[in-house]
Amino acid sequence: MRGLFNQVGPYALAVLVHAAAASVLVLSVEWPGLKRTAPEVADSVQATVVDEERVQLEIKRIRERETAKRREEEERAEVAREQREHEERRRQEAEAARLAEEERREEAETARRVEERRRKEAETARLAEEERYKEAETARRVEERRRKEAETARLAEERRRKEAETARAEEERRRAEAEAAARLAREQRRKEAEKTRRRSELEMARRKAEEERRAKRAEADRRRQEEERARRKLMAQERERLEQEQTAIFAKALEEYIGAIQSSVARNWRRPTGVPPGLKCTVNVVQDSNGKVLDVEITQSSGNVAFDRSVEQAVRAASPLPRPRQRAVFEREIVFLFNPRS
Amino acid sequence: MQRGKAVLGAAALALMVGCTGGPQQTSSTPEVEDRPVPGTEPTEAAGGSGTEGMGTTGTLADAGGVEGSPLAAIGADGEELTRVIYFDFDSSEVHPDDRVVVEAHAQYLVRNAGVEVVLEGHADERGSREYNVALGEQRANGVRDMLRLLGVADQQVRTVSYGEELPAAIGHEEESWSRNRRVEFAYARR
Amino acid sequence: MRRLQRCLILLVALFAGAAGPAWGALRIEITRGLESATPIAVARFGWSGPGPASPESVSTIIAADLARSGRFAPLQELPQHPLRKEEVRWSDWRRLRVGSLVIGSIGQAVGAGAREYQVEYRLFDTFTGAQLAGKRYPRVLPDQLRWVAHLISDEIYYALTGERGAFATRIAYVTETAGREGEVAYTLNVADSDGGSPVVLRTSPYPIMSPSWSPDGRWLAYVSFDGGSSRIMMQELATGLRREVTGFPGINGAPAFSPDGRRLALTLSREGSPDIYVMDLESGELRRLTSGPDIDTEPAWSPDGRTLVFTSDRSGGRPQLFRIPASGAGAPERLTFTGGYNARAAFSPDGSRLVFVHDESNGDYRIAVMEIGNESIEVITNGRLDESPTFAPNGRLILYATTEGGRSALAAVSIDGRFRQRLSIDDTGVRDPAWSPGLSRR
Repeated sequence: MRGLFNQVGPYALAVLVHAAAASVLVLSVEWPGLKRTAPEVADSVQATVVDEERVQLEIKRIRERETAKRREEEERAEVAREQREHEERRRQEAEAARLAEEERREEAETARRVEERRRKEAETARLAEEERYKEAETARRVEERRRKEAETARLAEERRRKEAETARAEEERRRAEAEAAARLAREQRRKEAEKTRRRSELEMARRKAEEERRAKRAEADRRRQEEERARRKLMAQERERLEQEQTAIFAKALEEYIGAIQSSVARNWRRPTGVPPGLKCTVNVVQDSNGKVLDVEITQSSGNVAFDRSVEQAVRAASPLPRPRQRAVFEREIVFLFNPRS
Repeated sequence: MQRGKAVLGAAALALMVGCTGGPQQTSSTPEVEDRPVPGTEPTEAAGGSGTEGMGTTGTLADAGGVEGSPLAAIGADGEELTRVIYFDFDSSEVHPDDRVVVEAHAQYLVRNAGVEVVLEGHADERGSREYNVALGEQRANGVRDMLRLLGVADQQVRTVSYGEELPAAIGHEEESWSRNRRVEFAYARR
Repeated sequence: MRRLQRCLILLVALFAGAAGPAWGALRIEITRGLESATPIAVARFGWSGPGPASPESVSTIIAADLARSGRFAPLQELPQHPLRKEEVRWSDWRRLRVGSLVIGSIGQAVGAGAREYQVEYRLFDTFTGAQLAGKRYPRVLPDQLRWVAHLISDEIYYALTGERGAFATRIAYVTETAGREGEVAYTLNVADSDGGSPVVLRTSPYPIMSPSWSPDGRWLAYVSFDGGSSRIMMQELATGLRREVTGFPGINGAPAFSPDGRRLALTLSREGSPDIYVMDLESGELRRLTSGPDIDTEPAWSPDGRTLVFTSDRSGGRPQLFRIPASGAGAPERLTFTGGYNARAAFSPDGSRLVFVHDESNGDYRIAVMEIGNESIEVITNGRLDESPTFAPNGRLILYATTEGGRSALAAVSIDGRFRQRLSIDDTGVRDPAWSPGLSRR
């Protein structure tokens, strides 16, 4: 803000000065005009009517008087004129003097204003200079503070560095001590290991001899066992072959037996009409050795009386049940699941 | 069937002619004791000897086969008017060809304000019986509405639908069915 | 041997298709069998005692009942006709693979007039010799013999199927007969479920239609055209008392008793087009349930009395079935969407199914069954003009009217459509059957 003012101040001053000069010039040009417009003043004439003679005499007198008078007047006019001219000259001289005086006064005024402006400019410059000085002072103080802080930091850094140096030296010292101790310990262990190794080498040699003796014994055992296993396997295979043969015969007989019972019961089963689809029923049937049905027990009902009844009657109607080709496949008890696939 | 109707018609005629007294309306009596099966002799029925159900309107006969029905509608030309019109399957629309028939009946009824006509609607036998009653009624109502438009007084027209119960032809093929989808005009004096 | 056992079980499981518990028994699955009516033998009920023989062949009636159910096949040629258990040669029946045998006898009632009988029967399992059912009816009048036969049929049916029979029930129907001179008479009849013991309730030269049983079996409502206009009538079976229910101008039709017997659903067209109404039978007050210019008719009550199913052409063109609350509150809901014509519904006694007249749009009107809540339908008859289906009160058979050789007749069909049989009623033009409600006794 101050800066802006500093720029505007001298400029405004210059404008003022120039405006004042211009108005002086205008005034001096107008003056002659004003003087020319002053009004002219004429002499007044008075006349009076009288009789002829008297008039003539009178006229003559008058004319003489007038002539004299005119002369006199002319003389007076001449004197007045000369006086006026003289007066005019004096007045003009006075005017000239006044103008000269005026000019001098004006010049003095201009000089005074110039001087004034110069003074003000000087003042402005002084103030600006003062401001600059203050700013510089401030900057200087800031710089001073920064410098002090840097100095402080530098000193702190220096201190840390020294401390670190001290710690490093300490660490170095400790490491050296530890190394020395470790070295000592390693050396000791090495010596002990050497002792142990020597001892175990002796031990191993002893053991090896022992192991060799034992292995010889084990090998003999193994051979014996292998021979035994082979013998047993041969026996088992023989037995298996015999059993399989028997089972095949049995399975075939069972298949035939089941097929015969299935077709016999199915042939005798009248699935009732008018029952819902999806019914199932399980019955437990006991037969004697001739296939005669001794008992039919419904173990899982279909929930439908007619269906359950048809199942029971199918089994009973199929009695006696077919007998198996091989006695071995006969079962006294048979479970039938009636599960129509329609 | 046809034969039965003829006899019924004759019985009705006999009733109309012979019955000078008031109509018998036993069927509308709220509670009556049941009776033994009435005799089926036509003469008995005609004599009105206790047979129920013979009301004032008198005929169930179709027009074709019955001579001298109780009241014949006579056209402007002096000829007896056709008293049955036929309908298409599932339709209650009067066939354009039959409009003249309905118009002739309308003229007759307008001329004879003392005459009442019962429009009997019928259906063929296909489908359910009660639904066929409804179809027969639609046909009878269609003819009734035409008569009214032609200036016949409301009180001169009554409708009844017999559905498939009174076939004119008893076959079970389209030939018979087309003869059964019909409306009959049954006349009586008011 | 353990190994053998394991093999065996493995093999059996292979055959049985399912691994069973590893006990000693063989397991055998039976997947095939001849589906057929169950064979049964009904021996002639012998006359035991002095006096003239029985006027009715009770055993014949029983055998016919069982056969008509479609679930039993009574033997035609019997090796013996035992009267008492001691006379039964079990092996004869076993050889014939007939598992059930009915024997019985009729005699003079003890200490009663000569016109009273006593009837007794026993049902045996021929394989075990066990008696499955048996009873003695000590005093039976001659005209009650048929009914007793039906009662025995019901007992046998229950013993062998676990379900109630519907033999001791009745049917109402309409016949049209021609007199000597060709005059036509319409008759409302009631007969035993087999068509026996028919009784004429009403005869008229005018048509009779749509009989409907009251739930107690005491009344029939029907449509009369006496006098050339329609009326709904009610008639008490025992007394013959008759009263007019409605006689409005236009249609008075399709009466149906509510399950509680207090109301009657019916069709009236007094407002211009046929609509469903419910009448309070005590007060005579009518409530209209449907409206509009369409045909609404043939109301049928659900067994719980809450809803009515009816026939309507409101969906445009040909009729379909709709359902509406019996309270009348609520819009009708369409039930059938298959086929061009679905009409005249009746509920199964358990309310799960509807039976109705159906035309797939090929011009054959047949009986179809639909489960409620399932749009798919099953056609169970094969006629061209089948109509008026009505459920047996045990829900196993459907009675309907069919046209055979140009004559209308009644037939029964099992609900799965697999068994059909004509009912022998001698009149011509038998139609409009209505099966009575459950197990009423005379």
